[in-house]
Amino acid sequence: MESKFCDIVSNLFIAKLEKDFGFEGIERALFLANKIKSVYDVIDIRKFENIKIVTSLEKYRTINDKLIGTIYELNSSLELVTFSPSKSIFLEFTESGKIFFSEDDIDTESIKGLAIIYEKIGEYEYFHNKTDKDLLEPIAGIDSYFAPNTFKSLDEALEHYKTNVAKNTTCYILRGIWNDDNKIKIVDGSSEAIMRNSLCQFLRHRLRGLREVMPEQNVNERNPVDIKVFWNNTKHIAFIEIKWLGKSISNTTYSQRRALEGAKQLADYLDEYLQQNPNVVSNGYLVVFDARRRKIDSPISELTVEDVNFYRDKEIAYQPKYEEQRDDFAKPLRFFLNANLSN
Amino acid sequence: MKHFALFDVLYLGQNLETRIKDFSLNEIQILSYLGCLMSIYDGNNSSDWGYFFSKNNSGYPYSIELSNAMELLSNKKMIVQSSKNNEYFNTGATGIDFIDKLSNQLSIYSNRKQYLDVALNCITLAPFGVIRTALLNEPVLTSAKRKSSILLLEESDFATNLLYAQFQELRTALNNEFESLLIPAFTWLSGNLNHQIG
Repeated sequence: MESKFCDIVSNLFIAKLEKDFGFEGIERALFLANKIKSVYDVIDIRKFENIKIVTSLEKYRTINDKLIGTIYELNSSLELVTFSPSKSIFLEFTESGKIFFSEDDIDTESIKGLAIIYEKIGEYEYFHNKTDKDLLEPIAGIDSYFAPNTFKSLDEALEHYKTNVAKNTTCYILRGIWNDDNKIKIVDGSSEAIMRNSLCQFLRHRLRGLREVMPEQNVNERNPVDIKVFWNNTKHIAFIEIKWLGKSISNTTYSQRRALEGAKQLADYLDEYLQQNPNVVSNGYLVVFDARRRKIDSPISELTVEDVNFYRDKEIAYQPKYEEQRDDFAKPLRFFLNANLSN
Repeated sequence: MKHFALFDVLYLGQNLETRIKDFSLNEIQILSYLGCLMSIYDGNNSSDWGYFFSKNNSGYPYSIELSNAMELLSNKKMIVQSSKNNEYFNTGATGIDFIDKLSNQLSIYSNRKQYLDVALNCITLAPFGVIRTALLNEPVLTSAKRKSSILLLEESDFATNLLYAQFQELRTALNNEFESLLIPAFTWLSGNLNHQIG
């Protein structure tokens, strides 16, 4: 039987780079990876449909003179890249510190074999080898292999997940909650588990100082917690309870009452846990995925932007406000999930 | 105090800073352990690494030598706290001078640098969290979770033998076709994760 490692290495982009370009290919890819990180530090990668970043295989040579398009040299600042209105950007970095930039959709076919070429098309990332390009296998919870965002605090991480993952459902796991591309109704059965898995993967890959992120099977209302987060070297533990609001394709409807119930369940659970584990510092987080839409049963063609965004800014009025009454209950988070009427 | 541990903290710390701004003891432990495993893959014994690893209460690799080295370097201001959160550090100016001297003048560190570099380069080409998750799924750490014995990579341990068998399988699969140790590292870590990294 063939080893699983044979399969893995046959699809591994750095293995192909070494095969095509030798050890130098790996060295140049590492140089380029650091430059990609420096670019992703200063741009919103979701703003661009196509990003190409290259470096010549010959350390001190530039390669852009072999390309067609308007390419100009930047001073050492990437400010122009940050504020570029273009959907496509091209960058070349050289070992001597030169940076070349274009807002044209540059065709890099002519430099295949002469340069290490990284490309991001939509959410997919590639490294080009001599003849083809290799997809970097997408990993749930990360925007890019080279995106710098990691978080020291859970609050910071959840805020990032809200804005960059949940809002437009950019995580491929989370996409499983939708019945179709319009993102109006939630699928039945597994949706809460999907939300839990997506958030788990995100936290696992982004939180520093982490010991473990454990998805839980919430078997009953007395044990409602969906995710447990353990920290390294401390007795801190965070409990995340997930609820969703909106309507499923089989007409299960959850209104804000569901969020209020979730808050009560979590508070009760924290009380019980504290009694049993008085030496552990626990914190509860209620995370509400909000997919409510006005006139949700209307045909999609009749729904307006106002209908699907009706609840976007409607915060939930919790009563009681546990976060004001107790120190171990974080302010509940509401992740509004955008619909998409353009399909 | 093991001098290798002092070197590793400063070398890994300085290089982590350029990637993720600062570093913690936990992150140093993880990368040093990965470096040690890559050294074993390359044919060295675990004892050649210069210090041993045990498992901490969280099931992570932990070396008391690295922990002591961090404390000493912090006391000497060679590493300084990077934020109010006292878990994270940056290398201080005296630490940078010291590591430069060690790196340039003492060839005893050049061999281990290649393995530390593999660990560091893994997090250049993939997010730290992904590499960490994959490493925690390797046979020795997985087995240690279920055991009271805390020393990792003991020759007599079944899990260590399982790791050696994995590395042998990996060598056979790669068939000496690659020069860079990053390729076995990524292939092996992907195998642990059951998901292609890269």
